[in-house]
Amino acid sequence: MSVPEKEQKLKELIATHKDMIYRLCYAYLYNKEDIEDLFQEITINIWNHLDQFKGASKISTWIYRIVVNSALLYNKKDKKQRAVFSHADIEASNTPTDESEEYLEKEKKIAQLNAAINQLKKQDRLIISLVLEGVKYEEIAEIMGMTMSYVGVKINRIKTTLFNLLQENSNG
Amino acid sequence: MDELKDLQSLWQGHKLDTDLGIDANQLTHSFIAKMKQTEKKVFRLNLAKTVAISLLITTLLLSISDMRAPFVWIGMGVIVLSTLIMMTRYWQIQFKSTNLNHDLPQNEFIEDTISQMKGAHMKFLKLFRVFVFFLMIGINLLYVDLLQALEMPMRLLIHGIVTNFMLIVFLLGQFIRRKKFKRDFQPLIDDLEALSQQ
Repeated sequence: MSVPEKEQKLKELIATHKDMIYRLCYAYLYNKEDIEDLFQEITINIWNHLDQFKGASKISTWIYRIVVNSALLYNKKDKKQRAVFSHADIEASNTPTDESEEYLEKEKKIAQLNAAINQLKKQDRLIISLVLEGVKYEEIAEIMGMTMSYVGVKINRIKTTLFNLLQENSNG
Repeated sequence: MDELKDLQSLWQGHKLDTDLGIDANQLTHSFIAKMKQTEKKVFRLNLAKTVAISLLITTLLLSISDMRAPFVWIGMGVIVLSTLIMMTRYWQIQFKSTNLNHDLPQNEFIEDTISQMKGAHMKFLKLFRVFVFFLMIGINLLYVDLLQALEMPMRLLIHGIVTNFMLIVFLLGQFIRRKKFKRDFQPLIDDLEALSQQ
């Protein structure tokens, strides 16, 4: 693949998958600078492996793998960001264009969801964000390199923990 | 089930680029520009290193060119050759994050990353051991001819000092390398090992 072709392919892939990449980064980090940093690292890794993609799996599966593996190794600044963030933090970092009650309610729910995800273990955070993305169990098993039955058990356990955390957070 | 569906629709409706004000296109463009700059920089750096090593070797060879001492030539040859091999191998074996196989399934990726990190460290230690050994031989050969005018006990003393000095340099180098590995890579390896056992 020539460099201009590669550039074009990269731009197309990013344009199609940027929302998913951002959300997975967001499940892992929440600070805007760190998300941008991780996003760039993911872009570099996609660029470095672009020639190796032979179509053996779906392009989305291939990208998910790169995203989760890049996030896993991204720990330089992660340690100081582990504190669970609050709705106030979200409001501070966001630049809302719509301040309607519905919008604020949605943002509050997202903040609660992210706060709960942030309390999960490193790998569980990635798995649940794949579940929330609507990725099928077979694909998650392929991304994580686990058996389907193991992924199923793991996801059920993570979901229970997540729902409990959401419950606790909303009560507390 | 419904609760999960609600969470999924909430999650998937979250457009972070607009919400957080991140511009993906701009980030991709700036990445491509940076990548091109880095490639040029790496090329210039490699060129500078090659020129510096060539100059060093030429200077060394010129400094002994009028000497008619075979051991000086052999010793210098051993030093130059082992340095060249050491540098080339070092560039090849050093751990680079670009060599990681990010597109592997996560379990395999974890194993592969751990083995690459540990492998690069062990390979360096072995290489360093062999390099210092040949450096010791080279320097001692060089001194065989250079110290010819001295008495045997004095020559042996100097050989002993040089060899011990090289040994200290070797031990110090190995210590620094191990410390650096423990600081930079061990925490990540511990993290990854813990993950693979989950």
